[in-house]
Amino acid sequence: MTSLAQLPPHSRCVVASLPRARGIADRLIALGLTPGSEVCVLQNWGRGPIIVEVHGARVALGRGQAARVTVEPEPQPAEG
Amino acid sequence: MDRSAERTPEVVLALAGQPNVGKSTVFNALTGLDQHVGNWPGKTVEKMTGHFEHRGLRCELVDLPCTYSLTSGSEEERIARDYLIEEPPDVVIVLVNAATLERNLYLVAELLMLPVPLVVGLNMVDVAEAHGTRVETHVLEAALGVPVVELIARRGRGLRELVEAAVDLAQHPETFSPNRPVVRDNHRPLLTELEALLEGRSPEGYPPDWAALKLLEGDGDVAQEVKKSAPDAWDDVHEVLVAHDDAYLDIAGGRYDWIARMVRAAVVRPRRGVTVITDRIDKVAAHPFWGLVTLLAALAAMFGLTYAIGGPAADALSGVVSGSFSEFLRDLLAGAPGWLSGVIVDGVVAGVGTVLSVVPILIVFFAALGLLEDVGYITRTAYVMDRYMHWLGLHGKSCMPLLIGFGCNVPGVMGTRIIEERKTRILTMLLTPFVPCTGRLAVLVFLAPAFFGAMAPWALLALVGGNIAVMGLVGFGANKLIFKGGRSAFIMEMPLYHAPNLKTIGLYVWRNTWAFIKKAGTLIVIISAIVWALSTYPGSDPGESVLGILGRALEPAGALMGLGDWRLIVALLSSFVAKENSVATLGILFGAGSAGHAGAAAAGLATKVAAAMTPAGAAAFLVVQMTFLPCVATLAAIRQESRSWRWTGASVGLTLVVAFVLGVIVYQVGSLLQ
Repeated sequence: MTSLAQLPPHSRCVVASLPRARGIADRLIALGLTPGSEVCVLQNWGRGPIIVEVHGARVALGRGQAARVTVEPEPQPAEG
Repeated sequence: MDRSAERTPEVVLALAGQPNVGKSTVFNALTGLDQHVGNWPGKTVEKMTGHFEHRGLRCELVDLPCTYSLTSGSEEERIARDYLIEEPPDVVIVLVNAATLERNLYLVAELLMLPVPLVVGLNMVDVAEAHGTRVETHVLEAALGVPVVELIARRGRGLRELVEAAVDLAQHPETFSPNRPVVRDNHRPLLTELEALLEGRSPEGYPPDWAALKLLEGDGDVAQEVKKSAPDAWDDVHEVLVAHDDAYLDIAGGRYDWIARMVRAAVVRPRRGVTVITDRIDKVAAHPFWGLVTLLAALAAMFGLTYAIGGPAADALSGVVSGSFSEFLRDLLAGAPGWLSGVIVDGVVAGVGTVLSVVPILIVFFAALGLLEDVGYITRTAYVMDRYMHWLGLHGKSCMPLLIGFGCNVPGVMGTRIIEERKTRILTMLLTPFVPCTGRLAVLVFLAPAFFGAMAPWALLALVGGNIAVMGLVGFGANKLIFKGGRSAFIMEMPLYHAPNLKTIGLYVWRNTWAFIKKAGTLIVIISAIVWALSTYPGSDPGESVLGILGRALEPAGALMGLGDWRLIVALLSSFVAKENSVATLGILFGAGSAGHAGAAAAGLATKVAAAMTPAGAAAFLVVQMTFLPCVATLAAIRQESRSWRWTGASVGLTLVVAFVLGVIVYQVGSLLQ
């Protein structure tokens, strides 16, 4: 399973699962990262935190948290 | 001015919104200076209330804490929802940012489950358009079934219409017919089952459908309430919940499904692949290397401004206080007993001088901090610094307060307000006094040449570097021991950049500075007067005073650090009022006259002091001076911000222990090496 932390910049994906810790999961949900949400990686330098865009907002995640969000590649976009 | 007692409000409105929707701008624009800052009952979170008139109606506006959702995860979320359930306002105005509409509607989805009418303020439509996003207000309004008012709060646009809509709804609540979100099909039977179990036994004020939904989301607070209100049904309820403990993911997902339906026709998004202005700025400001450069430049500008404006203003103010004003008071009190004139002129006025000398610096820092926060930059500093703050048990947001601490610890401590989590805030507050401020650096620069000769610059560097290393170690240790590890997660929204609002920044500066003068200022004046008395009585010179006696009593402990001379200990103790005081006290005790006036006298003093110590003792003295006790202003700020004497005391204890241990190590190891 791929994690959000492994994705290069500009890649798109769909959130598959969140960390089990409820406190962290709640904060991710509140910032839009629910299973099924489409995510675009804006910054990922291979070290340190990353920035993603989800539900129209930009969210920074510590690498530790990003590593525990699993993702699947984005389904083919409907429009061209 | 607080005129809340004048007339009871005819309309009570609450202002809700997620962070970064311009809530404080709207609150300030509507209420101006007619604001009252208090505390939510029994909480450490500030409660802001304001008043204004609309068509002859007196309106009260309650500013709810900024929250992303209404689960019971944080104190703020609990406050917001308890308020809405226990003392429902007439109408809730919920603000959303047009640029981040979908995510912001999550809170709207939660609010719609509570029995309070809503008006949505669609703010920052200009920022959204600059980023290529357009929202069709009337389409959104039709979809939600909730009044939606377009705003550019920063320029005051749409505010009158917003209040108009809210007051209208308050007067005709029966017209409110929203399109409420529903849970996904697979969980609907469960919800019905729970609702049936709660029938007639829902906790007071909790709508049964809302309580059932919150139970299914695994909300601990609601579960506790239900256990009390429906004890006989609890076993059945509990069984359902255990069997579906991951339902919360589906419920949250269901809210975003609802949001997607609401915005489908209403929002035009930028085409994929278009780089918006915020991403272009972030290529530099949030870059691992250029981001650090940007941060350093911002800090340099901040400190530059402080020295250019804050410093001279502070000197002028404290000059007037300690000069002509003191003289005036002394003349005025000429007929009064000596002790009274002493307490007032040398104790109280000196304390007021301390407060005033900090205020201009605070104003400049708060203005800079408010500006950086308002345009959206502070979050980028947190992002860039997060990897370095990692091992201190802190996250990126702690970096700005600590960096500001280099200028003065007081705004550093007050700057911890930008950190939401209390645990991280407290840890940052405890670490701030280990950041060498300019007051301590001044003492260092004054004494180091006499102590170390040509080696002085290296000693300076080692001491400052050592301080930062100590801060790191203390942070690491405190996180492990006091806070049991578990660094708080770094999950943070990065708002779009936008132009600042001067009114928001101005009121931010005003509120913070005034809070410092009122609360911390009083404490500083009282402690200064006490310290003056301790250093003056019972004998006439400091050597015969309580402080002198204390210094002598501490000589055995001091000897372990090579500070067997009580005069050195008294000098350190006197730096409690202000770090730079230790030089003045040394001047009095070593009889070198007023220090700092003539270069020769000053150099003479430093040499005399150096002669009283071995080099190892001198090093220990400076190490202790750099780490021991926050100054009274910092301590007062810690008390004000933590609202806890326990943590204030912890800061005193922590710095004392660290200073003593370091002093002993430096002296003992240094003596061996000599």
